[in-house]
Amino acid sequence: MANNPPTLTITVAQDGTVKSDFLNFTGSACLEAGRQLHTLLAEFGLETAVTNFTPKPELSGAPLSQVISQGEILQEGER
Amino acid sequence: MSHIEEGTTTIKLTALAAAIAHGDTAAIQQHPCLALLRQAVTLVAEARHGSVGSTYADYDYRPQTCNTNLALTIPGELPRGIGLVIDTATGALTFKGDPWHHRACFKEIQQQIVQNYVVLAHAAALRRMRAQVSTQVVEHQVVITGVFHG
Repeated sequence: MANNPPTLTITVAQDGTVKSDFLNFTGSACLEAGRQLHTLLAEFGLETAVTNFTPKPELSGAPLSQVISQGEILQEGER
Repeated sequence: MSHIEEGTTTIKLTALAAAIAHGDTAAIQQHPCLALLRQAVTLVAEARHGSVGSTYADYDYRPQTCNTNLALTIPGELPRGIGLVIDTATGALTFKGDPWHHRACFKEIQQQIVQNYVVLAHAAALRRMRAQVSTQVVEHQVVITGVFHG
């Protein structure tokens, strides 16, 4: 696992909805990669609205504030 | 280390819309969003044996212009074609044409162009992030993989 490079797999459905799976990122780097991706997509005229955010067990070590700010859909008490 | 995000996407080409509104031809032609849009339409044209031009036709087959100069015609399936128009007030991508007798295809083509645009934008963004990008189609869904090497 440690030797596997960080990988982002994005599935685009026919209706334009997307599912992005961040794999093998270190610590909270996946959150930063997600932010960077959204910024770049906006430059290409694509606005994204996150409807579901699922941290993997490995992300539990990241600061809570970072996780919540990225996954705005999460409501108080949902975690 | 990792997470999964799901979400919806909306195409909103505000910078391109502004260039169109100002009639800035050079800015329009060089705009990366227009390049992606052209690529998205061309992919549909290639897949469905159609052609990309600058006009679509009305009910009487009279040519109609569109502000992107992008229109797709598919003989048999969509003979009058479909034009891509950007709302200069909002930046929204809209589609113009006469779908009479070809309503299902007219709707399907729009969906394919939008799906292609979403895929191309993600691939372009991943390349900007210096990822090695590959794509594959799996049951009408497109899977984009970006691998970050060092």
